Amino acid sequence: MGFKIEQVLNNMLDAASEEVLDGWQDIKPCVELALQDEKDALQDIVQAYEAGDLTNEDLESQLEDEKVALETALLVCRIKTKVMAQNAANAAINALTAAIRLAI
Amino acid sequence: MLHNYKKPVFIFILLVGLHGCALKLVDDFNVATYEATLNTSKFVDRFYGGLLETETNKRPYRQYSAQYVEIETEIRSLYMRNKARPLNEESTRIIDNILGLWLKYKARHKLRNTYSDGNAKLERKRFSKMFISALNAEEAKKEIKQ
Repeated sequence: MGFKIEQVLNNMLDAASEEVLDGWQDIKPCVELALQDEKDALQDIVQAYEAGDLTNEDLESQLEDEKVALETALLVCRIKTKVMAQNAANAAINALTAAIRLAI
Repeated sequence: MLHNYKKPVFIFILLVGLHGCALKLVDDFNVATYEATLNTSKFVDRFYGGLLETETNKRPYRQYSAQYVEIETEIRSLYMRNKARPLNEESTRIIDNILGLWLKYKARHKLRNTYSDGNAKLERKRFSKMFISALNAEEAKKEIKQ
């Protein structure tokens, strides 16, 4: 059996694309959720300030800390992106290995 | 062109090479880290629960210093657990962020010798959100296909 490079590349691309599409369905909501949570947190801070529960110094500090919280939430999305890339690359390698096995 | 006798050897080497050639960008899911994160988040939440149950004028730092030390140790241990794993920068950074805020709030409590309701409610919620991020980060590693 011959080794058709074009076909093999297409199979590798298909396998990787499938993983990327699956992964993207996970990553987009992850970013949306992080931003929605951030919006809620900022609203809570403003409400607490308006109610007189925070001093000016506290308000500044709370806003500063929310930057850290948002970065933390987005780090989860970065892990999901890496997992997606890892799965896609390995799916492509598996497709290549299968094609070589078939060819010999 | 490969000689006939060399071809099977070449294919064998290629297959063996590809078999072991899996790309790795993220460490695998670790159940012990997941459990430790869950436990530490419980300690932090309990700390704020107790603090908010106490009247604002009865929250001197010394009353909480032992709990601060205990929880700081838990968070540092979680940091070490994550840091020791290869390909685990994001999870390590998440715990580092939690530790940074814990130390910041501890220092402010020590300086002011009190902890306001306004700060405590927002900070309890923030820690809860950040620990959920730490748990989600670990959970995401379950999606790795072997």
